Amino acid sequence: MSNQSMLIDLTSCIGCKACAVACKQENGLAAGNTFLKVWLKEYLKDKVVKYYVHQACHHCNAPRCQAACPVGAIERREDGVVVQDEDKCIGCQVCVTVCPYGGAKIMANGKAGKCSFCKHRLKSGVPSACVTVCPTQARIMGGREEIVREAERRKAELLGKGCSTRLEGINDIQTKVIYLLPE
Amino acid sequence: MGFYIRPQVLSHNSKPMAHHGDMRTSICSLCNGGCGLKVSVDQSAKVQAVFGDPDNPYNKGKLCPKPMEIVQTLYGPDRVGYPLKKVNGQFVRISWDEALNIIAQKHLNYLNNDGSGSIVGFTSKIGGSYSKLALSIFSELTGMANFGTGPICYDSEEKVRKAMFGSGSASTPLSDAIFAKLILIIGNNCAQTKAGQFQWLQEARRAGAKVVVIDPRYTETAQQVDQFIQIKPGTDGALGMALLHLIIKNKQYDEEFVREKTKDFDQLAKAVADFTPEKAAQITGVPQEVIEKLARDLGTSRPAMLWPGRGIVCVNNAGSTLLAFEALMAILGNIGKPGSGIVSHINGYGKANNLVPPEAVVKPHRKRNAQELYQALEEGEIKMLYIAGNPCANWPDSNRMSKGIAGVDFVVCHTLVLDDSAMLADIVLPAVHWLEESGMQAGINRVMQWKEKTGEPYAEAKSGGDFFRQLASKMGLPVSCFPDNPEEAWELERTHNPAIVGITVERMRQTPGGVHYPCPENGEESVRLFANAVFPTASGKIELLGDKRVELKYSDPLEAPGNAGMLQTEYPYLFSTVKVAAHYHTECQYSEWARELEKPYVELHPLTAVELEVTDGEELRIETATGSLVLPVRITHTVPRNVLFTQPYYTMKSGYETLPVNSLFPVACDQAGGNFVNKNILCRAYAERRLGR
Amino acid sequence: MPKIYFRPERCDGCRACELACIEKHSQTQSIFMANLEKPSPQSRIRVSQSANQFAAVVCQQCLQAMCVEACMTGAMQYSESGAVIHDAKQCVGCWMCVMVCPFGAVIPLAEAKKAGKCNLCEEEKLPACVLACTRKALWYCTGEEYEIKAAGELECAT
Repeated sequence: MSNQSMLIDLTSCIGCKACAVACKQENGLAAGNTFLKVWLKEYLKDKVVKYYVHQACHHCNAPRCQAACPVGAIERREDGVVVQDEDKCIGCQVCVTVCPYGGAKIMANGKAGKCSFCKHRLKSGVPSACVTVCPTQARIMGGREEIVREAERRKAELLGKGCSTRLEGINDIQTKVIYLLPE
Repeated sequence: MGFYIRPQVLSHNSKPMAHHGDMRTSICSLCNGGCGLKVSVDQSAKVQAVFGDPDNPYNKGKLCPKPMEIVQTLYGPDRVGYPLKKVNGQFVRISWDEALNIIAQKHLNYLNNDGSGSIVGFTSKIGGSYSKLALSIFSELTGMANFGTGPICYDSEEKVRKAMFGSGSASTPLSDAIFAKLILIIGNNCAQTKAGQFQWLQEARRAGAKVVVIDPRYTETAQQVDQFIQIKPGTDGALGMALLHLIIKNKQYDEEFVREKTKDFDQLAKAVADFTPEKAAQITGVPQEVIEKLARDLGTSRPAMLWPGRGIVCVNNAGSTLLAFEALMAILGNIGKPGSGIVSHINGYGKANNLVPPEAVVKPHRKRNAQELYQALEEGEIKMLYIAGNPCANWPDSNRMSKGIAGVDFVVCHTLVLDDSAMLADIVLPAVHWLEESGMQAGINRVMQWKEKTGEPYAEAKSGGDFFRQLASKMGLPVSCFPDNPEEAWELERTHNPAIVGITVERMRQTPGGVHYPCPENGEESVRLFANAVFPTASGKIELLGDKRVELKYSDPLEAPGNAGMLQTEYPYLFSTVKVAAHYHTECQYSEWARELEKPYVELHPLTAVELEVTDGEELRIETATGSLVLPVRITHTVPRNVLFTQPYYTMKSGYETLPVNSLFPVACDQAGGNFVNKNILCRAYAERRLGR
Repeated sequence: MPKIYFRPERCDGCRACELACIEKHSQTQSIFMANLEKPSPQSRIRVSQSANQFAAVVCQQCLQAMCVEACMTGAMQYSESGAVIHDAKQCVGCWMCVMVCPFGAVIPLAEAKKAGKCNLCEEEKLPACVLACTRKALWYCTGEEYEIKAAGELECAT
């Protein structure tokens, strides 16, 4: 399953946080360690905008964390998955501070940790744990083109219902994880 | 003094699952959603992880976080592994045999000296079908009265529906949503409470259904649907009556259905004759035009479904509200057809009869309702308690309940963890978890599914089924009445209940998603109740006004039980509880993951926050006439002014170390004499500024 | 253990942190006299610029610090609280630590012939540079606190 992309549709997310727990279960993360945090964001515009932020690695095409890491513990693989090697990590936490998405996180032992796109599952062709569990198809995975098409389709459909949204990750900044979020 | 190496350098944060071990199929037994699970079990038969079962037609492999969190509580530090006896305030490990001997001797003693009414069971979480059946046999043999989840969850709903339709059960599976044209969701945040099956609502919308949410809060469900109607808390009844008024006035009801299948229509029409939308608009805060539009939609969109939630059940005017909305569905003819009816988690399928030879049946010598139980505990009428659940946190006025339980002579607690109630017990017994026992699980899709045992019972944990049989044997009761294992229990239950006699274990195992009930001897499933338009009431028709114990008359929540007689100048706000997806009852709070996801907080409107001089994260003390509690503030525009919302899950004897929210709610029931109230209670609040802050 | 975190998007390159650090590490403890002292005090934090991005370089208190591994006398070590500390008495001024630090956060003190590094102003309640930073680009907090604070700061939707 190479060149897989993920769409996170925050307009369909119901905030059940099953993805966050599935992530912890799949990656064997003890208390205090998270790769994915889901939290409520709310603000006023011409209407009440309320959605759940999914704070995790976006798997950038040009990852700043990789550039900042002094020991080369973070690497962007050929298939676009940005992986971090815990054994190489020296715990300087610079990747954490340079990430604009809050994707790399400080773990309980002081090292950094981040979403690996469930690379161990990808190997056997199974989608990431968070995608498998999501009850509302707010998280889907597939080939890049297919996912971009689906994202555009959902955006257009929402616009038709008078709900304006924005897509992140397919325009000027390219990321493997695409976000559709309300505006 | 320094160091040259740091040991944590060697530790690993992430240990991705290498393999998923032996995968066993099971059914989640938390929220009655009945989601299919795949449980990964290691070589020592310990549960490792929980996944969704892609072959289950209802959740289709999707899950909410709760079943995954549960794995942490199975072998967590809080789990009780062995029978314990309290000696000088400390728990000491004893053998099962010793524990059973003590309990049997005490039980017989109280039975002989104080009568069967002196022994009461709190059995809200007794376990699966095996334990439930053994408990009911034991109760019949000893005259023990039991209090289940009814008084704290659904009694009002069940009573009202039973009076109207002849059955308190949900009439329609949730999956019927895809056939509906309109779905009316009232006081129900199913996006959080039935998250694993929320896909059905989305599916329904894609199929063209219009979904309307009526709620005081802009909930996650409200966000996902076509129309959100914000209503003043506790005023839903007024809206229901205005809708009845409009439907009747505009003759949009199903005339034939009303004539043939319902009773008391004229009285119903009279009862709502003066309930105009203007009047309702004033009470509910919903604009008149919106009410009229909703009535038009209901009148023209058939079939339509009603999804009532705890928001109109666990309130002090539940009876008339439920009556109004369910009568609304009835006169519109939205009963018994695909895509119509009422969705609820109440799975009534009748009781198994004649399990015990008539000569051995002992009747309780005292009958008490849930409210009277408090006084009975305080006055020492009750000498012995069986607890399987956590009444010290789940029952209202928790402090009073805890004191009551602490004052009882002898308390037995059959439990998973040492929770607030277990700490007050004299004997604590280790219970099996629902993952460690097979049994029948009924779900919100009106199906019965066979839940397979996955892990081996932890340490010396025993099922309620085994416990009551062995206790009965020690007490010299006829053991032959009891089943020996879950399969046998189901066989016994099925063959003694004509409504489900066609549902064998084998049939449940072989049918993906389970078997719809009732299913009598001929083996025919009933996907929906009342498909043949026969109603098991006295008249054989829908009794639109119920059994008249509840009047179809709007009652102001501020004047209803729990609030009546309170001064609004003294208690200017309303206090309510609402649900989140990561918790269920009190059992998920023992999971570290759940504790990381959810912390207790109170939601406030910004203007209420200004009035109370608190900002985000600051602590607020909330006081009702019953109790008080301090909670951190979360300011949000999604709640109405002057109403405070918090979550009901957290207790003292868990990682949260929080006073149960139920300690703020009075021991009050709505006029249907149904369940306790845990919403819309008058309160006051002020900023809690501790020294040094 | 709290440490200093640098949030690049907040920095405008004013260098207030450097000045505050110099004052803190001066003999006179005077912002006016510091530059006249001999040996002249050196800042442990440095702001560099590339294009219109600024980066403040300060000791990151690495979990597995290269400077500690390179130090032959044990002058660089881990404190009990978890910080990387430098004991000037044991320092022989070989400057291996200066060479191996991936951030250039260890300063060669040329006049004193010793190495110097940020000590998180251990005797103060808050490090001087953090206090001086008007745009709050420098945070002094623990990893846990950082995660909570950072979540509220995310500009991107994530």
